[in-house]
Amino acid sequence: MTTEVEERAHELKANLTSNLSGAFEDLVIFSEEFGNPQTNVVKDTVLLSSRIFRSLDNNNNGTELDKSIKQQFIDEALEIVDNIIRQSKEKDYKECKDVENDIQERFIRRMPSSSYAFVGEGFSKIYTGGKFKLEPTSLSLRLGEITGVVGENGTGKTTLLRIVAGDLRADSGVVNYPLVSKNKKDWIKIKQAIGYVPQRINDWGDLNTVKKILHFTASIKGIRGDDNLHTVNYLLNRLELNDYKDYRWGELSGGFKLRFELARQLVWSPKLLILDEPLANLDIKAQTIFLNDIRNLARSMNHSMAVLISSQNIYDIESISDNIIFMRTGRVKYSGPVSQIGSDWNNKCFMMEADCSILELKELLAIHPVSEIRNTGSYMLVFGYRDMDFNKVLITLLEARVTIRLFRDISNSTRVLFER
Amino acid sequence: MSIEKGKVGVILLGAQSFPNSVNYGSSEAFSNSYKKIKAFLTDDSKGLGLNPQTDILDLFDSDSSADAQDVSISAFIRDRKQKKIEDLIIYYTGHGGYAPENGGYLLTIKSTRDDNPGVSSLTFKTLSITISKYATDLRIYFILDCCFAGEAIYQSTSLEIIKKQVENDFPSKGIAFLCAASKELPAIIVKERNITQFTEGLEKALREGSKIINNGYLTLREIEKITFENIKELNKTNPSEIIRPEVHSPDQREGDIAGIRHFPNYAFLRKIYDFKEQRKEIMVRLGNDNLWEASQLLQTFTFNFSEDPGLQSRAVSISRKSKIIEEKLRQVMVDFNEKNIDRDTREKEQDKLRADGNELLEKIIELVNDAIKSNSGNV
Repeated sequence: MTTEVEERAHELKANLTSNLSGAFEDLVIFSEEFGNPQTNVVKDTVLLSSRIFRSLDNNNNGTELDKSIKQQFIDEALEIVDNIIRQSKEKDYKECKDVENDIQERFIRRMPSSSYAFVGEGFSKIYTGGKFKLEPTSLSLRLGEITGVVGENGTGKTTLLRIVAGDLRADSGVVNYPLVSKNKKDWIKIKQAIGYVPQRINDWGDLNTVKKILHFTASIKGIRGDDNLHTVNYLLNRLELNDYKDYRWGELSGGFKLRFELARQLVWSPKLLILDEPLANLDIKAQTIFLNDIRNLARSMNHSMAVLISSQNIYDIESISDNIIFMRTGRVKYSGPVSQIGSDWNNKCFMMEADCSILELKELLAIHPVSEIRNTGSYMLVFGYRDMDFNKVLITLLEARVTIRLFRDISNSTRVLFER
Repeated sequence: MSIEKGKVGVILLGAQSFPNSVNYGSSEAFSNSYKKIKAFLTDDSKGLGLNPQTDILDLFDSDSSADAQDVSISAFIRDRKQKKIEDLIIYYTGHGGYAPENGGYLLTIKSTRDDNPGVSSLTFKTLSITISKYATDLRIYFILDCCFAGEAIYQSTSLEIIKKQVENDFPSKGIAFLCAASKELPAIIVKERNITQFTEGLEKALREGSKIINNGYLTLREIEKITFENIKELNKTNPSEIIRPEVHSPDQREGDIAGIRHFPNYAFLRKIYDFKEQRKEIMVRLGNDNLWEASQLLQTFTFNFSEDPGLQSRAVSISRKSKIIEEKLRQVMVDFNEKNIDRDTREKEQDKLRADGNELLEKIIELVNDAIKSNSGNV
């Protein structure tokens, strides 16, 4: 009888032989899943995979390798697969896998609770003079989840964040922090569980170095001794502040001031982290690293947090968020999972940048179920009915030799909410 | 707020056999379904881990009369409400049917008699009165695994008095029904496995969740969809027998609770706390020659899966070294492009750095293994 290992191996071998560049990643996954952890097979696989990757990468196009080199890689890969099959039939294999499975189960059992760090119902705010008001808003923030807040400027994002952070009192409604202060609101306890990075970061001037301020912050939060050293070192490295640890605050650039402030807020492992427009001062690469860090930190097993983050970079925020809140003129227009944005909308929309006018585009797309084309100045938004097929639209445009610089399906993105 | 221990009360209803009835035949399938659901509810590692003594009122196969069951239900709800539960799940498996006297929908129990099923069974009307009276302010999920389960909803709302009572008693929270079948269709028993089709799919949905839905929590509507997918998958050989479950939420004044992300999606949640999945992510990054990202993930990995500060420090150190290597590699390319350095020199420099990278790669794998080994005794 064919085992699962053999079945997967059979498929993988065929893929490696026919499409090495597409299958070498699957080799790593296969090795990781079925290789004996007591042997070097995973290491050998990873080393081979990285050699294949480099060869493809050096080859510019990344798809075609010299035939003999390619064959050599395939042979080595197939040998690894056979080796894994052999291992799976050895005596100690099941025992090793059982030990791993046991550890895996024990970790999963330690999964932190899904408790809510914040629950607000119908909270609102009217500023003196009544020029702006945050309409009654309900919001729940769960440990391990990231909630992104997006919307145009002046729509109430910061007001919402400040209320959640306990920095601003709501005029009506209820706000609760069930994890920290269940029945009676103990603001000292609540504040100790919140990390809040506002748009305007506190000015530490030349008071002390980055590292010393972090040690100081940790110690006043009760983190002493080795724990203090360890936590600060971890955060300095994690947020790439190591090279700047001996700088004074005033010597840091905008981006590193933000990282420093984030490290300062994370040093006491808050349950709720609130970040108001943190991406504004970061370059593109730093934004990606920063968001990935937030993703990993939010779901950290030992110190999971609920994260509320506002930003104008909607696509980046969507990519790491579990839930999205879209605000317009002080009102929440959408609040729900990222995966459900647009699910209530029976249309499609794409944005594009191309070397044609709106009239030309209208003419070209007349054969498609397009309902409206808008020119926003820098790009065009094409709205269509549910049966609009983007592939067919692209074919039409390419056949008409239109040069397309950008084409993005935004039917299920917050971006489309700005236009609806 | 989500379905979890300490915040939820569960009532299990139904029966395997009906000794006083010829009309309603006994079936081990009901018992098997009940056992599956109860196992999920009480399973500490792969379920909700509820305490069967305190969190669950188990009236399945109870000898007590409909009236006595009603008394037990109201007492249980009152007691759990004092313990501040927020959710009430009522699961029923057995025969659904109609009382001949008034056509009212009934849920058969062990004491159901053919000569007067409307009195000797739990009727949905009386059940909804009790629930409405005592379960104020709770989110109520009815899970009905029985024939014509969809009819229950019409019964509860067709009578104006009950409708009003439901509206009065649930001012801010709602009520939702997950039903095995619509009011036109009978629920099905899978003969091969001797279990009800609906519960088999539902239990799998609750226990495993969905890999496709990228969220840690699922709505009742999503549970229904996943249940249906499971039913289709489990009954591939008998597609004509497949019955789609239904979700109804009659009281939606303060929002539809069937749309709240409330049920753990274990397929998603476990991935985060599954060291094998996380280890795989690191290995894939290494295989793609992405030392820097791998070392970043390594830090999270050691932080999550090891309590040993020594290992965590090693991860920090590896991460710093990998950053240096990545930066040097980038600089080599910049110098090559801008300073007219010849290809041989560039390649020699790159090979040297990659050899350092390989050394680091081995250290990362070693550290991942050490982190796991450090847990083999005690997690």
